[in-house]
Amino acid sequence: MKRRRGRGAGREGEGEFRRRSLSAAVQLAINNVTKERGVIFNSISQSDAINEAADLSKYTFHEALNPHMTSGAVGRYAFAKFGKKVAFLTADYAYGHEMVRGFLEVGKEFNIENLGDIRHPLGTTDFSTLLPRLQALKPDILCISNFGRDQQIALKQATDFGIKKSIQIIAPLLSHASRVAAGPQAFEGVVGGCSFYWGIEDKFASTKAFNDAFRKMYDGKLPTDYGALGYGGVRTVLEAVKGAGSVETNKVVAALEALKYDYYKGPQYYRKCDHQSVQSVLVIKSKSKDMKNESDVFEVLSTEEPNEKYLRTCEALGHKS
Amino acid sequence: MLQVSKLNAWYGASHALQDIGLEVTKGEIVCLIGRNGAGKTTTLKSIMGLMGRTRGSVTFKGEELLRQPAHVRFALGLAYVPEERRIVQGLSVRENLRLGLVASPAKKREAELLEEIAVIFPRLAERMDQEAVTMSGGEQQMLAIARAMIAKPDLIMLDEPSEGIMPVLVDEMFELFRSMKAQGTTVLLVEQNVELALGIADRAYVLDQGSVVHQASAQALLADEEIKERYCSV
Amino acid sequence: MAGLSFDLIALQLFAGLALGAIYVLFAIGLSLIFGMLTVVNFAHGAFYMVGAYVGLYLISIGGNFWICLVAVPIAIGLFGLAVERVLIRPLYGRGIDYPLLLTFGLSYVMVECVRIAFGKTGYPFDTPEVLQGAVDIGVGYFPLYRLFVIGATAVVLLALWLFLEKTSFGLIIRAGARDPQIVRVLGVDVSRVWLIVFGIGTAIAGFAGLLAAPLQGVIPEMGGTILAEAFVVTVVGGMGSIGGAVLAGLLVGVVVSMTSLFAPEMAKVSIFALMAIVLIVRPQASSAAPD
Ligand SMILES: Nc1ncnc2c1ncn2[C@@H]1O[C@H](COP(=O)(O)OP(=O)(O)OP(=O)(O)O)[C@@H](O)[C@H]1O
Ligand SMILES: [Mg+2]
Repeated sequence: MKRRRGRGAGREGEGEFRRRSLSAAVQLAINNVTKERGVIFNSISQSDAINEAADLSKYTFHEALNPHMTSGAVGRYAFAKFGKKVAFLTADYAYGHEMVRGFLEVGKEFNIENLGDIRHPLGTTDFSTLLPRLQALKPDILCISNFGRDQQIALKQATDFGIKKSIQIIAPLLSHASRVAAGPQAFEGVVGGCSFYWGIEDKFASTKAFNDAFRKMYDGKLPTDYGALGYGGVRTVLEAVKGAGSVETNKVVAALEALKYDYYKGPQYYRKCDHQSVQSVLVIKSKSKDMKNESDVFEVLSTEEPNEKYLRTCEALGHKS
Repeated sequence: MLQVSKLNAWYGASHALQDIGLEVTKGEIVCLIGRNGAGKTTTLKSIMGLMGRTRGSVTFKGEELLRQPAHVRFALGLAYVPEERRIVQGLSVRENLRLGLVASPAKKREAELLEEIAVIFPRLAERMDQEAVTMSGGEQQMLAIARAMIAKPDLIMLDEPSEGIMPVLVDEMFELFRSMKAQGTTVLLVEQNVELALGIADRAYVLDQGSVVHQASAQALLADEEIKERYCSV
Repeated sequence: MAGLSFDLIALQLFAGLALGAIYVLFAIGLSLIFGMLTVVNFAHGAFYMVGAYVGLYLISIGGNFWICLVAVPIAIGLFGLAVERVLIRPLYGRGIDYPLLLTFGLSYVMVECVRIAFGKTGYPFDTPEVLQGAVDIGVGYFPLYRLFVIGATAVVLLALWLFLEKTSFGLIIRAGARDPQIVRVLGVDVSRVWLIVFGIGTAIAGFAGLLAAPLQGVIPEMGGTILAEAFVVTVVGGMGSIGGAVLAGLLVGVVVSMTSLFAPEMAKVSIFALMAIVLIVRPQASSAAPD
């Protein structure tokens, strides 16, 4: 992957913190600059590379899930339940590659059979020429690892081809915005992961409080996954500053490392070696009926509790433990 | 019927016609003669409305045409057969003929008019569904004339119809012009073949370097060796 | 991966034809306009996109897909007429680059207006209920809607063919594309013909956008990708050639589909590889005259 070495963001010294949800390449470019300048960067987009020793710095935190955690949780759920024969349709860039790597890794525990992986370029608007081939492989599970509009179109067209009749479609990540943009038909019955869904408010007081505050501020609307991540990314830094009683970068970093927090989705903390937020992963299924409101789009099938064993080990990431 | 006075025309900066004046009355055959580059084609194009910059006056059946686009002039009853014939590639003979009717109110009688034309041009009748550009030059010229005639214009302008055509066909063609005249069609003819043209014409204008230099009855001009020598020899 | 069966290849062929059908519809409008007006319509993708949004809007106010199939081409065609009359006509006679730049700019304006009116994110566009799902076509299951797209394209092509071959106006268009001057001499108001041809071309683009909407949803940028690919189609088929656009559109669809079967990552590139081959083998291809 090509990384842009961005410049001009952030200045040296203290008191500046960045929080970003961007594509992997942009995220890594920002990370490069913040690392160089000693600015705290709390990233809320998915990347495995950002946890690796080569890219990580003491100033980098990762509030978002990473592909390994996401695909791991979804894989553990799906391979146990839907079958062992798996075919892949994958966007040909870091996000897709990292997701598939995660699925194959967890797949080893389940002895899955990899029937094939078809790669498509970013920005594909027609999957009709790829779907008959995937269908002909007769998998139990079709795992579609792409994002945004690619995912919306792929799921819509897979639905049109009648793939869901005999094959369970899974996706590492189902985003709220994509599901709304693609409509209920396309996502119906698709199983995937997410870091946050407002529906867990029955389970966590923090979620309830966050939802209520959000509803109040945005005339009754409910927060989405990325809305919550943005909140979490800023809130943690804010609390760390308060805790440190200072905006001095090193003190804030220390406070973040020590933080045990539950601001919107249950308990979380940043792992010492790679600053990855150890947190729960929700496995969800998209609904097409019995929706109570416009945000009622997913059903939570299971929750993988926060546990460092679901993360790549510090050694595997190249950190000295 | 057609009156041209003080007609000037330009190709870009070059002043091709200077104060051309001529007149064609109903039922006449009038001939324009002159050397290569004298301005004969440009005169016809100006009358038809195909020149970019013109000044002066062109009236047809009492209407001033100079500012009117070509299709309006056609609608008033003017027809023009250009020097290069302009048979449309890719169309059959029939389609080229139909093209002569598409903008005419006579379109409603298309079948009938096509039959009439077939009688006048038996060579075309045999080749109705052939691709037009595969015909011989003479046949194509016949088609160009037929296409201009089919909508029954009041005045037809022909630019060097005999050019590059075998003599048998030329005779046939001039016979046709005579019968057109007999049926009341007015003709403005540009011809290199002066003797032949004057043989059927009523009157003639001699052009040189963008101006009318002489006008006379066809008979008088046929006898005037000096003028013919001076302006028409090739 | 699993072996190639006859059924799979046949299914790919169908997928290629359905894909090609949209290219064909898009490219014939482009070719018709270029052949007649020598205008390279860079806004063609924007008309396509607006067609999809007009459909979306009509459905949101209670219309259905069948009404859209008629109303969208009419609406986009009228819009095309206005664009030709007001914006493009003053540029005739000034060389090919003027209308090219104008339509290029216009496409940005249209996309931006749609962003303002409908937002930047896309919308889903439901497949009409009776066309949902897949049907067994003997070699496997194929989406019913895609079969409908192939059928609708065939109907449009047949209608266009009848119009061009059997009507006087069609005759004028065929002749005018070759020689506008003689058509003028034969009494035709050529500027009116250009106006109507632009209207027809854009109407077909709007229709294509509507047909594409249930396949991929609508988004303001949806016209950009297809424009680039349709230019390949017109180059392969010969700029201005309608018959060429039809054959090339289907060819591009099938080439993409077959490449996807053997080397999916090459599918996108295959379109441009095809263009390169055609340009090398047949350099005059891009300027073929219309049929
Ligand atoms: N398209 C043009 N651009 C510039 N000058 C032109 C053009 N056509 C003709 N001319 C010039 O205008 C003048 C008149 O030309 P025109 O074609 O009217 O002559 P003509 O009498 O028809 O000659 P010919 O007997 O050769 O057909 C000539 O000097 C010619 O060179
Ligand atoms: Mg001449």
